[in-house]
Amino acid sequence: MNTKKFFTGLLVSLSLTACSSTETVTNTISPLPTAQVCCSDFSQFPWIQLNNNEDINFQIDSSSSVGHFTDGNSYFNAFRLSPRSQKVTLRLSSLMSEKSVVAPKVITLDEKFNIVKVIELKEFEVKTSSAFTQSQFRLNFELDATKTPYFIVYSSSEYLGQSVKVKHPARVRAEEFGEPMPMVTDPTYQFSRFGKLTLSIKTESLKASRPALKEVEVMETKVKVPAKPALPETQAFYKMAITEAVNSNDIAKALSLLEEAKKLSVEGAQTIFIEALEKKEL
Amino acid sequence: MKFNKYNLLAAAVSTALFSGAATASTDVVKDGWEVHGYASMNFRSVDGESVDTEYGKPDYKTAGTHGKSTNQVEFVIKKHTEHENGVWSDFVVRTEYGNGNSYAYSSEGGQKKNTQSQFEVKETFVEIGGFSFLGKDTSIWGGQRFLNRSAGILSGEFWKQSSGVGAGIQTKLAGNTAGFAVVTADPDAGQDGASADRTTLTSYDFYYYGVDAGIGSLDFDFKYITQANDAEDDGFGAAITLNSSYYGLDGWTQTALSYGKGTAQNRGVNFGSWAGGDENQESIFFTSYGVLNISDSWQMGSEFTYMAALDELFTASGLVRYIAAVRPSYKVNDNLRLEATASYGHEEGDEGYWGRTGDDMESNIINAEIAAAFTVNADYFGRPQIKPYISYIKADDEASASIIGIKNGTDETIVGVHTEIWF
Repeated sequence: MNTKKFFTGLLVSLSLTACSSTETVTNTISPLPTAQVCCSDFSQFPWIQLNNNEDINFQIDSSSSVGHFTDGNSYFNAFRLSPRSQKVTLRLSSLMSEKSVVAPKVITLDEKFNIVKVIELKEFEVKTSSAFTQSQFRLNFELDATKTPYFIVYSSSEYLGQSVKVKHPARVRAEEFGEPMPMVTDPTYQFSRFGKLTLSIKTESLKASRPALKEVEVMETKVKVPAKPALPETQAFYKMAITEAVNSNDIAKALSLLEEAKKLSVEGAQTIFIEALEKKEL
Repeated sequence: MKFNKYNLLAAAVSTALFSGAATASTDVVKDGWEVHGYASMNFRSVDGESVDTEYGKPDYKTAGTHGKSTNQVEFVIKKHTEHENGVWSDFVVRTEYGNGNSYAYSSEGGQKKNTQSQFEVKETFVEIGGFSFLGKDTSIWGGQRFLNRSAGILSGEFWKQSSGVGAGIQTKLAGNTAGFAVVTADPDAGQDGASADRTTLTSYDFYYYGVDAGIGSLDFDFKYITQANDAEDDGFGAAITLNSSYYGLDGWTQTALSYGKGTAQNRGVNFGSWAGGDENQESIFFTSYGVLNISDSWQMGSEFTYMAALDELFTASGLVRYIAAVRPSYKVNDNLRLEATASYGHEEGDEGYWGRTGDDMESNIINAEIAAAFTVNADYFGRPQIKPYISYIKADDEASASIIGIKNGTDETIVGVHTEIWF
């Protein structure tokens, strides 16, 4: 009988599944020792250079550096915006998976590594999953790379031990379309030191700048200033001296005088030199 | 006296149009597409046969998992845009294939709901809000949609909605949501042999939601429904709904009382192409359903729904229907949940309603079901669930059994596997 077979199968599968116990997650939240802190100040942080536009996936894990922040020691990734960028829009997502998620904080810094702003978790929105994205904390923000070229993403120890419960997709659908509310369990994610994140950077405007002062000076020295013609007396002196040097077979001296004459813009010095040579050969 | 629908439509949307002085900033601060979806594959078997009945579920006679839809798939595409000046817009398209089919299809041949095609655009609408000149809490919408739907948790029946094509405006008044909409629906849309003079139904919806009542919040609905080219051409309905805890305990309930007359006879506020009725049609409807959170592992859903003719309902004099149902649920672990459902449904009417006499005049149906829902903690691509179930249905007599599709005797056992995924 079909019903009997089905019922037997159902009971067997129930008993098998019921044997597998729920995984117990033990959260040991001991503070990270100061010995692990990588750097004494922000300027020494290992900075990851970003391009004008890019989408990157990264992890905060045990291989990440540990920094000291006002809310304790935490693993972090530090980023430097492209020197070509000015106005930049960013989207930072901390992905919820395997029952855990990084509850991030973001610190933005100026070019001298002073803190400009701290973005707390409450400023992130909880985005439930869709066909192409998993549930996540998401933050859209803008930076002016000329004023805040640096930012740090870290798994703040302030949030460890807490969790977030997101709506089951069935509940989202039911609420949105007025469907019968399902009896489903909303998934819960513990805040963890480690997790996967994504960062999307889009440069809205490029940085334009005037050349630095030293560069201007160098350029100016390289520019040839149109020389004034040498005084008639100077011209006469060099023409005579070149001719005499050639006549006395002191060609090296003649060439040296010719070089000086050129620098002083003595007109016709080269012609005088050639004519003197030709006359001598004749 | 009738409303002039064109004036009302204009009132709903024109405020935004005439104010040409307002400029929409082109700076987009948020923009993106989202894709969501749902699939429901209910494999049912009764002594080896697939069946084409829902065992009275739409008529509040049973509450089990044994509904139709062997390969229903739904996709929702949403585009949300926000501008720097606060103006936002949503574009929603919801398509569905296979809702209500009952055949076990093979890979060969056309797939129809018996003889009807079954790809449907359920919703396609645009909503725009955040205009500075209308107030940041005001939005306007236009298109085809389900507006303000509600359904019983165990019967699964929608008792409130406006499903059709229209437009509306929604805002905040005294901190509560207030809205007005005009929604139309053609009863003969897509039908063969439709009349040249369409009998279009139009519902004028007024609603005011979220009024604090101490123990919860109250929602108020009023609908005036007209029908073109029909002698009995109007009616109205009203509902009051309380959203609160589970009767003072941890959980939630939705409790509603509604009244409908004429074209609004169907639970007063359940508007769609199925609406209509003459002035003799008059009904009252009460429902209360929700979920009690007993512990981390135990939950219990319950529903009590009652509807009755005050004169006639669906042309049946003295028609009364009610159902009482409970569904305790035990979460074994993150991957397995056990459910049991029990319901008692009743229907009766005056002698000769819908031609029924004798045993046909009263039905009492008991439904008992056990199910095990297997799920995966999938963080990506949504949450799949496979739920094997056994549902037993017992009617008080063969006449009652026959009405709900039981072919022999007074009882039936349905075994099935209901597979769903939400993403």
